[in-house]
Amino acid sequence: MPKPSKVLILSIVLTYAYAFAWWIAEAAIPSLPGIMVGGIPLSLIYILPLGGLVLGVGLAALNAWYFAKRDEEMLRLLAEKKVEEKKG
Amino acid sequence: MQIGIEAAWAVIIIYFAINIWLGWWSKRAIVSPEDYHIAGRKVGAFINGSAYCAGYLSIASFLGLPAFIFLLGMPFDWALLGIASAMPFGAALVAAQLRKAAPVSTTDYFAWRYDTDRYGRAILTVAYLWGSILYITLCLVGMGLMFVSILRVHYVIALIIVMVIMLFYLWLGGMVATTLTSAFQCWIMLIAAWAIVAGMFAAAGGPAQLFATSKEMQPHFFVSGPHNAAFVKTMVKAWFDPAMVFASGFFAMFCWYMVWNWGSIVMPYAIVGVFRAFDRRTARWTLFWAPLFVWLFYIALTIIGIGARPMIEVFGPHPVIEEAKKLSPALPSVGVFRWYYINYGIGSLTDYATIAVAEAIKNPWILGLAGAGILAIGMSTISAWAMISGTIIARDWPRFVLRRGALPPKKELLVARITMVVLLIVSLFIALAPPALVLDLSGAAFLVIVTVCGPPMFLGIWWKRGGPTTFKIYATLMFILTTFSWLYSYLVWGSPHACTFYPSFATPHQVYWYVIGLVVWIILCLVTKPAKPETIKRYCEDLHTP
Repeated sequence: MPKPSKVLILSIVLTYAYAFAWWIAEAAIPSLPGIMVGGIPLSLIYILPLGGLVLGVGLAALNAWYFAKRDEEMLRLLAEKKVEEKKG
Repeated sequence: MQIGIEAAWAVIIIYFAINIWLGWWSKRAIVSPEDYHIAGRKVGAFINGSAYCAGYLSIASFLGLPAFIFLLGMPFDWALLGIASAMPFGAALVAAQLRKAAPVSTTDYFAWRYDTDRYGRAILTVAYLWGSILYITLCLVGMGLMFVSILRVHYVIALIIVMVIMLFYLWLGGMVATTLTSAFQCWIMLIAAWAIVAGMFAAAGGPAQLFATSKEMQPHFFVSGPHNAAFVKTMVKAWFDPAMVFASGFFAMFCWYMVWNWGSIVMPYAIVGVFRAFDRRTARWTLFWAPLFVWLFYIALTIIGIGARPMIEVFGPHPVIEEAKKLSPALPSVGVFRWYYINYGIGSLTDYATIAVAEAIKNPWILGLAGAGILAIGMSTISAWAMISGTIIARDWPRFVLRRGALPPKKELLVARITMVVLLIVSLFIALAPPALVLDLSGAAFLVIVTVCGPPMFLGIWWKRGGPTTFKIYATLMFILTTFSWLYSYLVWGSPHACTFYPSFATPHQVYWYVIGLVVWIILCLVTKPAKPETIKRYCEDLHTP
């Protein structure tokens, strides 16, 4: 099994840390989904999905950018290796 | 009762006109069966991500999720959160790897990786047909309800109209057409969902008033899952044990998150989006655009679910609220659904919350947009499922299962189209009297397919273990266990959410099988022979590099 990338590990850790934090908070505070409903615009029922959106889309961009760049880098190295082999 | 319905028709007609034009324009691109099945692998990331979103989300999202929130309240938020949050991992774990393997059919990767061209494809066909029929059924139900609302026709007539539209769409289409139209449909359903939200906020005088009224009318609604007896009771009905509230509620949140989380990058009708990407880079960026659109859509659906009752009963109110109060004095919103059920011959009481909210806003343009959004999400999901099933029957069976060689291209397209028609007809009969809420139907499909396909796909790409025997035993065993378990709970315990083995405990859609499946797969991999070394090199090791 290949060594997992740090970006992937970071994404998984952040996603599940976010989910776990909410699970524990909801288990500890029964009224959590209702806190601040009707109050300030950023009440908790907004924060849960909005936080998910910011985190999720941020990580999606990071993964797509990082892995696409890594592919290009690997392709460049492979091409260079082939040229060197031909020269050799 | 009429609320300027002509404007709503106008929006639907414009929606269809754009779809037909896109279908006609893209049809010129179909020159080979590969164009038909996977769009000739020519699609860019933005269009592909939009189409991925439209294909992955279904009527179960647009109608089902607000309806479930309406029934269960905010404890259901975990389902919403789980849907999109694994998609970023998809870009790293499966998208580019599957694009490099370059399958045409959704059974290809499994058949290649596990050297099981005949049996592996046959058992996957059964699982995928199960998923296809359930998903097509729930989409027909939703689109039928939409036509009941817009055209005021009997539900059966509405279903026949939907059938005609879908037959026309699928017969002419193919994956080039469905990819482009699906991308367009993604934007339409996003606009529709947010238009409904905007209409709700305008009617209520702002989000704060809407949510405050919702909380006032349904206090239990905003209690978290592990403490919410109403939420757990709704799921497991009479078998519910009050001592199980905390465990059931916590388990439900956890399962909903985990299963939908990983399902988003395993489900065949979604993952086919990766096959048609232009290259590895496009495949990776597809899984940036898709979660962005999914998140935006789900936030709107959450708001629709939260505000459904105050909107239908207070701020609209719904045009038939007086009749509804007579039918259901304690909960007039449900009376609205019952009124449609009685007056339009809908086979069973089903998810009408989103449409009822759109009607309660009393703006025909928003109702028309909602209608176009429901049509968009239904058409894209039906076409995605019908396409993958058509490809399996027309391409895979003659070549690999029956071993009679490939059909001539024209005949292959004909068989694919006939398969889709048969699936539509079977689903139509089920949709006449929907056997469960649309989200429950999608849950049944999700359970089976995510369990059967998930571990072999992920671990097939990243772990060298696992061979023909592993896959044959695993896929057969898990297909039987998951379908039996869901059906047993549904038929015997009266709810698919009552645990098959202990009905006092709530387990949404028996999702524990997904975790059990993962363990079973690992054990089977360790005790059975791996695939041939050249197969492992080609479909596991080589996929790790570009």
